[in-house]
Amino acid sequence: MTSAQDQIRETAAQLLSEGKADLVIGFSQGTRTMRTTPCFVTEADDAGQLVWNSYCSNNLAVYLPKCFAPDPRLREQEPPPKVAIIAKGCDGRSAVGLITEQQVPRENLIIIAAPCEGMLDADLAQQLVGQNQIVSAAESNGTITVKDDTGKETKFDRKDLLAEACRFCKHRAAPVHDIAIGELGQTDGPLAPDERFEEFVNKSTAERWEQFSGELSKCILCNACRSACPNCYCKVCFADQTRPDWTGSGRKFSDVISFHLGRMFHQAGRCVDCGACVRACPVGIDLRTFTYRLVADAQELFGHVAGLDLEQSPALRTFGADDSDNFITEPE
Amino acid sequence: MAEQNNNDWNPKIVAFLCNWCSYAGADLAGVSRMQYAPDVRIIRVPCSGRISPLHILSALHRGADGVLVSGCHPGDCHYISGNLVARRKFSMLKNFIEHVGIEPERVQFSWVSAAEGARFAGLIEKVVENVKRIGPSKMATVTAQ
Repeated sequence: MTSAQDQIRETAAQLLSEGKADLVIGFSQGTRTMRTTPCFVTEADDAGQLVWNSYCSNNLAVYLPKCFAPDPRLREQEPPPKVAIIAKGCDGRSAVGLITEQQVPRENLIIIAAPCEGMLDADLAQQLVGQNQIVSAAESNGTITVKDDTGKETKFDRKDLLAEACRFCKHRAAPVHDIAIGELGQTDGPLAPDERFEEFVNKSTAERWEQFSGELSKCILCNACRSACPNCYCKVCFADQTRPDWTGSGRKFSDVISFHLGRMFHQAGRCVDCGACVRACPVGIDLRTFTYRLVADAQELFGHVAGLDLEQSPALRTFGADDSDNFITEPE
Repeated sequence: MAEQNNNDWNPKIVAFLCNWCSYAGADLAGVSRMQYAPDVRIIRVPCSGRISPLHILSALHRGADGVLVSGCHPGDCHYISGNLVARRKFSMLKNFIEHVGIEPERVQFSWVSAAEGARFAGLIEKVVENVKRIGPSKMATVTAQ
């Protein structure tokens, strides 16, 4: 049996040479070890650049709205391209979300579901190894052997290097796909106890505020969390608007808080918990502890899990006549 | 500081009221000469469904100590379902701001019909009392640690 990577290359080459796709979005080897970089393949001959390993962590669906956005410079729009995307569970769910939000035409998108056992966190590995730079990493049977620049080898269990969002992932395989590569992981995995989140929930209001504002005090307003998120495709982000000026100019700390509250709440009922924002953050803000509330609430209050079903309306676009009223203030 | 002087301190509370029910309810409270706390600044909006969470967050960011959003009772919306869509948004927002450590009393939601002047006056009294109890908001003045 050929590896998933070979199958991905073959499939991509075939789609491109047969004209079924104009563009394949996948990963190619990054410049450093344990890193990959998003790769846009338009020629069948270049399909060999595609890789598939344990470090393909970015959410590729972030590029999809841009592929189909109309070009404001053109009076007559060209027909939309046919795009194929190599999708883990999270990329696939984000893609479904974008289809239901009408940012991506379903008929122009080919979802290639690739097997995912959870992606590994290169930063975490580096942290565990210490000061010496990791120069190579090899994986076999759930053990990762990394070698640092002094030649010292360290072995890790795969589970210990999983990225945080992957550790609690419930949907490893793209729920909607056109082509499946290899053995897809479980689609409905058991819910791992998320201790960090639980611990945060059980704190007092004041303690939670302290942790929230403490985390955000690291923020440098680079907007990487926004750029990495597939759900952030607004033409003009609320944070960039000046009339009205929702969040302020960013000079005060309250502006930072305001930006993050607005950005996070925009994910209500849409977040697929892929961890792209956390991964993109250059100062390591633990955004997931806060955004996961929205994922949990959408499921708890409305039974809504984002990105599983093409027929499903986004949670806040619709309503139920029997939605709970228990948060309402009654005068007496 | 906040705890001891709360009785002398007058909070700033922004109330978004829907044009068809809650604003008319406030009007009725007014013409019926009902007394209620003077700490609310009323903003009339077409429908509670018009209220984006950004309006609420922005009010807090600009120094409001509390925000009240009120619309027609479920089923009575002038636009059929505006308040039902709003209800979903608000229930998630309320949980979310509480999650990040903002006091749940800061942002409150209620339903007041055009005939409920007394309910409106009672509601404002309750909201003002709640906000006075938790003291001034830290949202506008918070500084990085």
